[in-house]
Amino acid sequence: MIMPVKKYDIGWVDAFQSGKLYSLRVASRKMVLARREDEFFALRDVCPHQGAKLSSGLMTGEVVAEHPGQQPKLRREGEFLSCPWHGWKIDLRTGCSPLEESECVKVRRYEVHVEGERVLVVLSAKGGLRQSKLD
Amino acid sequence: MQAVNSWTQLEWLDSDPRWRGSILVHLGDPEGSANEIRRLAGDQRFVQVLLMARSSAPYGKWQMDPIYAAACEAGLPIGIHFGGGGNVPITAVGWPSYYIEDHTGMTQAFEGQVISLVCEGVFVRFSELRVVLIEGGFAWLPALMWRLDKNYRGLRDEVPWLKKLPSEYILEHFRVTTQPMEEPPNSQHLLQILDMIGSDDFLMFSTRLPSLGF
Repeated sequence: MIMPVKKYDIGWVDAFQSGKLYSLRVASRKMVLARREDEFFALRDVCPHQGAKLSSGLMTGEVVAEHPGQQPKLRREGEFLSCPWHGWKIDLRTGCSPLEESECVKVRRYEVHVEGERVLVVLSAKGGLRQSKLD
Repeated sequence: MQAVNSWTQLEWLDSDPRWRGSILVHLGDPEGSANEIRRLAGDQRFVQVLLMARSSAPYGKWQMDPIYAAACEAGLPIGIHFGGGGNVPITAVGWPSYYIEDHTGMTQAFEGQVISLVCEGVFVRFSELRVVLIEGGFAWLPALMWRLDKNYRGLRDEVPWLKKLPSEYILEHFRVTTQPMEEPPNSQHLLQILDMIGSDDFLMFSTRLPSLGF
């Protein structure tokens, strides 16, 4: 069954800078919007750990090193949210912790479209939440 | 090192085929310790390399690597036993006045060693290494695993070589012993703690008779 959807216009594309987080309220829902170059991501603005606002955190990457003592490298830069309170990371593409792709550490994601020069968040027609296809 | 280990062979292991021994090593000489482990590796009566819980530096430091490499080559576990020292106060808050403080506070040392061995990546460097915590109890272990896993979620960038939760390394690489274990008034609570640890092969039987210990 195809669920009816409603698109919420949240602003001009140029109003959002790449690498920054924005706190939004869409249909009474608190969201964090992230722009990474030409990609936009929207997630529930609540850390699954202790409820901090993710929009007050940072966009960051994943630190990797194969062996102790190896110089760590940052990869997938800008693809993660880092919570301002305790540093928990959330993958913008999945809403999951990079450590555990499980339901217990997962943030709800929402679809974001760019139409013309406008950014749109997609929710169900009744004002409920339409989760991203990845969820 | 060689003298005391040879003495163990001659005075104890040769006296009865049922005896088993520990290879003693010197933390100030990791390379020499590794050579000593290799010297004795062929004597099957030695069943572990012995370290003490308290030390001047936590055991995850890379300086200890020669000892772990030699233990892995010999197929021997590292046994970390109650006791020891290292020119530092014997509790995390300084020098205590009484033995009851010393004895009860020993779990701080065990916890410190477990945290260090996991976070410094010893089990990444030595995937075959096994560690037995002897006389350290284990009731503290569930809380440590929870705390370490939770902190790892926020601080994992510091230890990016870890590829799984710290508790998973603990359950895979460590074992604990039964003597002396915590004795809650309600014995069911002890079973609950074992359940919290989450592994039914984590506990090894041990005894310390005859001894004035607990």
